[in-house]
Amino acid sequence: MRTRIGLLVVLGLGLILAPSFLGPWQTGILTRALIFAILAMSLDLLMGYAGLPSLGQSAYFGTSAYVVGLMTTRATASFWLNFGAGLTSAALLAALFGLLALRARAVTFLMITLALAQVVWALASSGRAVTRGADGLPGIGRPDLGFLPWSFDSAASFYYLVLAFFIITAVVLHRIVRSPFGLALTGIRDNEVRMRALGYNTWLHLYIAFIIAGTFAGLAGIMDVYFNSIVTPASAGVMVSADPMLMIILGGPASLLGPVLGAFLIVPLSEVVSVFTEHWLIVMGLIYILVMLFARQGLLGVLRRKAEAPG
Amino acid sequence: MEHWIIQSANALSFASILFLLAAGFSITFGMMRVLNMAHASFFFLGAYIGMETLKRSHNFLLALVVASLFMGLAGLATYRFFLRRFSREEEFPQALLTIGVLLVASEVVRWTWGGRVYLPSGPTFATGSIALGGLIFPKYRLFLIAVGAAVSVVLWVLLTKTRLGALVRATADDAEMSQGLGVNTRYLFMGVFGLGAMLAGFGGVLAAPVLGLYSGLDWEALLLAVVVVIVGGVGSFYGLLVGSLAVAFVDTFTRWFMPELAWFTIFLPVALILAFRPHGLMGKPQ
Amino acid sequence: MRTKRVLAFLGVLVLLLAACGPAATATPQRVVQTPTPTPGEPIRIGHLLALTGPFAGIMEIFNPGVDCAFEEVGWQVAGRPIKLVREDTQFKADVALSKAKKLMEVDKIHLGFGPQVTFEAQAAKEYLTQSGIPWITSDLALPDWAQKGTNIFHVGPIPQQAFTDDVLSYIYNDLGIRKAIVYSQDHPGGRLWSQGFMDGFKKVGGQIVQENYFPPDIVDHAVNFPKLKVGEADAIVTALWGAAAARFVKQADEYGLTKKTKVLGLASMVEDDTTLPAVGKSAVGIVSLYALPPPDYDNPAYKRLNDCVAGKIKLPPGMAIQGYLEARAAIEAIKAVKGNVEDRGALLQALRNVSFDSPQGAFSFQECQLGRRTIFVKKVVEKAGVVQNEMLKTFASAPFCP
Repeated sequence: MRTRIGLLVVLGLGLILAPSFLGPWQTGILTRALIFAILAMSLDLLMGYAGLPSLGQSAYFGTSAYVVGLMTTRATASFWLNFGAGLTSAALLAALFGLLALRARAVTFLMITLALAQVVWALASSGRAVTRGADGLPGIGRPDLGFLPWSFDSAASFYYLVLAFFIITAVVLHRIVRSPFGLALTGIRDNEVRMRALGYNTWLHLYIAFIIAGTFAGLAGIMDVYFNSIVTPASAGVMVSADPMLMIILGGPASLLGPVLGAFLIVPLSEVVSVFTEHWLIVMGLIYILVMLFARQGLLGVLRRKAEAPG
Repeated sequence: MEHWIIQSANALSFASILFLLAAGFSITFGMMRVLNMAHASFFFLGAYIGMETLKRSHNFLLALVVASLFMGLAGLATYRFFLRRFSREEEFPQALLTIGVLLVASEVVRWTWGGRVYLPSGPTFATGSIALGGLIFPKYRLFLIAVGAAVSVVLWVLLTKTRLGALVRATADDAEMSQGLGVNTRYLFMGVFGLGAMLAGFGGVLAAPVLGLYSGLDWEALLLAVVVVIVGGVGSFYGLLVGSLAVAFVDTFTRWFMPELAWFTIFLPVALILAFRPHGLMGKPQ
Repeated sequence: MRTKRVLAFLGVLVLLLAACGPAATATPQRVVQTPTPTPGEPIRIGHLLALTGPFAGIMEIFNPGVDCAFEEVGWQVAGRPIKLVREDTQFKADVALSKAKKLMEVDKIHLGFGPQVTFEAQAAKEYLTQSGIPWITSDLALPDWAQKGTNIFHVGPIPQQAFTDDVLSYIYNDLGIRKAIVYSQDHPGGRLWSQGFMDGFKKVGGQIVQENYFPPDIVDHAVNFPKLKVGEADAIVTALWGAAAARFVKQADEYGLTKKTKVLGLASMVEDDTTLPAVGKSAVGIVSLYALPPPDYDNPAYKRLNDCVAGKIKLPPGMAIQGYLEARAAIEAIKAVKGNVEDRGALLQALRNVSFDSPQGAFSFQECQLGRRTIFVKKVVEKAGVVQNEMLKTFASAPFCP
């Protein structure tokens, strides 16, 4: 427990102070790592805790990004209105897709979520009248929160906005996984039949988890669209679903710290390594291979083993 | 009517490619529960090796043999050094590790051959088109259909009629029991895995004159292989066959009749099929 | 409970820093440049391009052109060495923006090339404009990318430049294309070129029989062929790139489509360094229209570049010319300011005034900072067993400014 709080303090301080020491480029990379950490944590609720490997989080990420993009460019610049609309659309879509996806488990679940997300991607790509197809919706400015006296135009200030939402996500998800609801999810993951025999409505538990995960993926999407100032079909593309999955496996599933570690490893590495070599994908591939060969519980597993080791 | 014949033949040739691509993936995942995302790399790398061999020897058969052998060995090595370490419950570590292999293979190919498009030619006897009445159809695609059919018959016999097939199925169901009966499961699995990789390399060489070769084909192939296996149903030969045919025909005829749905073919039908038959067309609930 | 207190503390800290942060970085970091050049200090040039991802095949052949332009001057202009930093934008909007920042802040470049992908460019646009240094790109499917008086340049071509009245009446009268089927990839480049063609074609009296757009990664064009109303049109006008272009050419040949109708390829569909090496004889007879010359083009600058590029990639320069034009324009501008790239205003002005004989004919920028180009109509022929493009006619590009 003490090591955990120590680790949190160090991580928290590091995240808070980082922009003071870094230029806008590095701060931008950390901002993207935070956005992906939100996405990966949302997926971990499904994949790590509930045992549902969704390869379709891009559906909610992309939908809320498009809703915010469309609202901003066509209707209103009000952050809170757009924010609310983005989150609601993600939650509603998750509520709809959850009905279809939760008819299956394991690999088939993964496949249905992927297929549904690809349908969203296809809508974004082909619905030119609304989404402008592959051109995307450009020119989405940084948000204006209204009651705050400063703008979010600079790299550092936007970083803090994302950091604030990241902390909110971490706290909320932490509470959820520690609640009786979260414990029930873990029980369902380990043995759904037994949980059902004990009187739990397992489907409803999973369904609610699915909607929560979708909503937080939507939150990440909103942060992403404000960061990039453009939303394209790539925001609903398969890589947006696959990357957080890699982050969870690499960091260590069934813990909120694991996905965060994974995100803070993969996002900066894939950018910084590509500065040094055009063949950065080889380096990323080798990292995946080596970590899985020597630490298949993920990086968090290694840290835990170190912490538990005497001395 | 002419168009129906041509489009059906188009769909059949696409189904052949899908069948060869997905066969190894289906066998190793369905029967051995080994999740190998690098399967697409065998298809991809095999196609490039085949192209190089063809360029040097002008012999398509040799290209097929060389690519199959190389990919068979690559498959053995992947299984022996990486995948054998994992138990069947460790699907995620397997997936991440093999995605690592896929990334490395993908970038090595781009490094060696560049990102540009290649479109190798087929064997000389299958170059050009045949004209029958008003119908014009490429000979190479007929050849592809024939090879696809032949390979599926061989696989069917191998998996359902021979002792080897019986052993594989028995071991997949209960590895300990088979081991108790004196089956060397380790070598059996390694052999089957090598065979799957070999088929992928073989399929890559055959598909290259139709699909072309370029950076990124491996990811496209991976998605297709996964779709075929899941739609057909995991773990059976019939699932593989039905999956390849279903995906190819649905894709072809949707594009023909409903071009406005071109962006949605493959994944919209997959979502619908799986929502109503979560275990695939031929799969049994587990 | 301790966790709570820690979190509360961190929360307060976030608010404090967020309040101070913007104050510290409120003004965009416009570094005041010393207007005096430091002799011997390298001139740093950045290049943003999507080396990995689906456009890798096209992007990698820009580079030999850029390199050859710098080799011609021995990687040295006005006594200062050239340092080129290439960054992979990974075909991602956020990475493109991030790499632009990296080039500015870490490498402190004086001039930049790229980005070459539409959505990457849009994501980075605001930052690039703020940066104040010249950015030169080519082949971007954004007609209004470059603008008068800004630091953004585009060597082109865009379709509105290519479809002049002369070009269109040549297509209508000499090529005999009166009714056309448009067959295009559904992405920004495809849409832009198809639309550009149709707008001009209708003006000279042409008729569009049918429009077809399909996902860029289409595997089998043969499936689309039965729908095409070939009997009612004189030609299929295509906007295709990469693997889709190669598959189309081969399948159109195999299914007898090219025997029934003409094919007119827009943009770089069948260049000698892209699709042609892959498809060979299947492409014979295809006419194409773009701003790149055929391999036997009689022009000293072209021949020089041909020798250099062929030495690197064993192919004639096609898309490499686009890279060459970016780099050569930069070189000429740097020469004009005598290497004093620290004086941004003078460098930008010099760039607006560059004029040189390029491998595709005379090159200069229009007032809107979009390049003046030569438009080539070419036809694929087989000569002594070699399949290559042959010149049909050249045109000056339209004086088009958005």
